[in-house]
Amino acid sequence: MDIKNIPLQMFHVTSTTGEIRPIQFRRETENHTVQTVKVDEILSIKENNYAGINDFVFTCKSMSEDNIEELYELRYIVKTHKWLLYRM
Amino acid sequence: MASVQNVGECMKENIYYHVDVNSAFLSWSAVKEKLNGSVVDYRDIPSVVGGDQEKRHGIVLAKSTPAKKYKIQTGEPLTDALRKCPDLAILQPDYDLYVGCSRALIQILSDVSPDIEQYSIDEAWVNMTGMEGLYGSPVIMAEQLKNRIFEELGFSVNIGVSRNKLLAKMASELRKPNFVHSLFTWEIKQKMWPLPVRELFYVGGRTEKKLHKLGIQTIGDLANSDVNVLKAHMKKHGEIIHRYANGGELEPFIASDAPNKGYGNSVTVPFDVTDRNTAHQVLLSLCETIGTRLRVDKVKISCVSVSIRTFDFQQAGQQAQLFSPTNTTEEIFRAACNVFDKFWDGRTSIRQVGVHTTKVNNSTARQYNLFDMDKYDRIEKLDEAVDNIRERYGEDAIMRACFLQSKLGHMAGGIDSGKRTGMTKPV
Repeated sequence: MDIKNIPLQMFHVTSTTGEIRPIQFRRETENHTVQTVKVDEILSIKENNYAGINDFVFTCKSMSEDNIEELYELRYIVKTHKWLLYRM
Repeated sequence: MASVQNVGECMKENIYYHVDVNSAFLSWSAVKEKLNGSVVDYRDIPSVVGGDQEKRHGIVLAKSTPAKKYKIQTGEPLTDALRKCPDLAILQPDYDLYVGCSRALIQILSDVSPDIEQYSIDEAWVNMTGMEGLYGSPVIMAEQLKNRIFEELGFSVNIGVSRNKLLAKMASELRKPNFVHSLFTWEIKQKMWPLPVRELFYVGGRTEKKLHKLGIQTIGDLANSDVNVLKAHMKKHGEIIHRYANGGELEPFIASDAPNKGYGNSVTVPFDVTDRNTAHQVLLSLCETIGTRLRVDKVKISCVSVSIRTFDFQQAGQQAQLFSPTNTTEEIFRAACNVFDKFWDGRTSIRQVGVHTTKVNNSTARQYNLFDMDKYDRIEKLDEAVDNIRERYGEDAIMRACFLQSKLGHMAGGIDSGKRTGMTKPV
């Protein structure tokens, strides 16, 4: 997986205990169209504090339009509330 | 590593860690770049964090270990550094990031011990006295702490372990990067004494020269020299460094609340100053800063000196005594202008201007001049009101009208507001 760091528009759910789960997001593709992706499964969640930047990295799985399973990582930066498509 | 019998000695004594981030600004920036998808790790190639060249603040702020091999020095101009190493990678400083990193580091340290003393943005002492029962050998614990910092935060640190703060600090400087060193009393001779005397805490360039003249080259020479000779040449300072060289305690000598002997600020102007009005404006902005600092500390000064650095890096300066001690911006500014007008020819381009005030005293009395028409009490009241507004609503809430259309800041000198982090000094 390569690091992409593409900013995203995100729908996410915050549970009553404060856990965040991504549901679906919109991203700009290489040919500048907007693509909506539904997060089918969250495989792992990891909290990092590299360089003092507190973030959560979600490893997720989705079905693409051609019915191919795609793995990718979403990154939520706590301080700025930004979602990024971190690696794909 | 401490042997079993030595661990026994540790238990009875204090234990301090000194944690020091290896080339702090650079490794913090490098970790961020890596997170952002950079393929190269800037810590492994010759690279520096450099100031803003547009603002003519282009100096090396931090350098990587490979850059050290090119003899690049912190504080030298970026152009010089590029001459030494044309492939040098230059990173922009990011002070928010550095504060975040520093906080995260302190957070981890406070997990380990409740007693932490932060010395600067990238250094801290950790008091580990009496922790052996909890964590085991201090050196092994330090190793674990170092690894934990690297795993969680992504940057490497050096940890010095010893029985007092000074030795811990000396230990952390021994070999870099990413090492734990112990420097207990029985190791001083072997580890600290062979080092050049410049490496000792509190020995700077000038003291080094003095010591070299006395034939003292290493810390060991200093430790074994006669303290009376040192005292004769360097007064109290000689005694202090002699004690440090013998592994003495740091504490009684670092008096943080020693009063300032002078208040000064200087600024490198983004463009060359060639006319008197602009020069006076720069002086005013510096006096504004100094005046505020004086009034915060409730002191007055009675000597003002102005120094300039010209476009070709020539230095010039002069000073003048005031009639009566003061801390009003107005008076300091007037004195500074008088001094400046005396020695500036009105043509030479100026790059840097500095105003320094000395002869500090905290008298509240004012000597009125019979022929003076100024209403000092009103000026003082005005300054007080302006200070109050700035304290409440920020530095830029109120400024003199002459700075409205100007490219210059209205309070020059000191640290840029962007760099004032409140990390080591209160903002």
